[in-house]
Amino acid sequence: MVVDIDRKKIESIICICINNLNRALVDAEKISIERDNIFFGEGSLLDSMGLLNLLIDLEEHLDDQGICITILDDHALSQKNSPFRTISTLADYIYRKMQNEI
Amino acid sequence: MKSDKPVMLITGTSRGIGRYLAEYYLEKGWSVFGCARQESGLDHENFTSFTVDLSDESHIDQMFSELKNHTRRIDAVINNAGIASMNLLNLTPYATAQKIFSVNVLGTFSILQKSVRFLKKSDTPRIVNFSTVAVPLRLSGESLYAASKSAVETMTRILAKELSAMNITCNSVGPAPIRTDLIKGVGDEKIAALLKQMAIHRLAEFKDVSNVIDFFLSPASDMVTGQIVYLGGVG
Repeated sequence: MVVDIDRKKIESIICICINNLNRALVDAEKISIERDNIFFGEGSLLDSMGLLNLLIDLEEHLDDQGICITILDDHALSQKNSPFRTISTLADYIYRKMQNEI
Repeated sequence: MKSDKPVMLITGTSRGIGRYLAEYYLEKGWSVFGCARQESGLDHENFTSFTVDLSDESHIDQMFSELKNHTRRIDAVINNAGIASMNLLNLTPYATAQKIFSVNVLGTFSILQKSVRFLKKSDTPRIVNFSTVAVPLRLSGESLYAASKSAVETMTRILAKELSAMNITCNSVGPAPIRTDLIKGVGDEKIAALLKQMAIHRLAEFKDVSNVIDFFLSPASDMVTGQIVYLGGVG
């Protein structure tokens, strides 16, 4: 796979998708776009359905950039530490996947 | 393929009900994507088919990867493909049991899992799964086939809840026996005994199935979800 976007760009795409998700949420439920803020996992505001919506939207946005990957796969689901905890861990996971490290 | 047409994915379009449904909905103006283990031979400007073994997830991945080049939206997924083995418990090989569950349950699961992102883009997203009257009739010799379809029914009811947040409805149709390859190994006597257990004592026809699917697909059916509709008056 030819990777033509960097990790920072991935983070910005994740933020766009979180903002998309936030539009449908009331203020108290909105997800922070701080890169190390835990948005999925224990004590987070995002439920499984919210995460699913976010990841589907994210795959679409990456697709638009010519990056065709499946984020929600068996590997991601079987990790001891979920790659979906923060913007930073999610960006790492996607970047590694794009580099064929996963 | 024109994007303004409603878009449907049907599994098992090489023959039988799936082939009929592909032709039926093409006639009604849908763009239809089909898949089967063999080529369907169906030639229509709005029909695209993929060769897929539903028991192999990598085949399904490959199909959706190619599908993305044709459409970003699917309005209806019809999980028609299925295999049956009419055998008593001790006459059913383990490999056959695995194959039945692999295609009927995991194949349906995998198709749905990968369809969600396409369905999300529809204004009236619909899922229709296939069950069978063998579930409520508890037919001898169909324990594995019926059990696999029971799993599909439970999946239907639960996904109706899970996917309602995306306005996706999820229902099942349970056909009575139809003269297709699926029942070609079942003797006439057994079929006659089965029909006796139904309120309407006749074999179903393809159009009986499409009638139920039409109801599920109707934009007016957006409150209808998690339902199993059997043909012939059973259940």
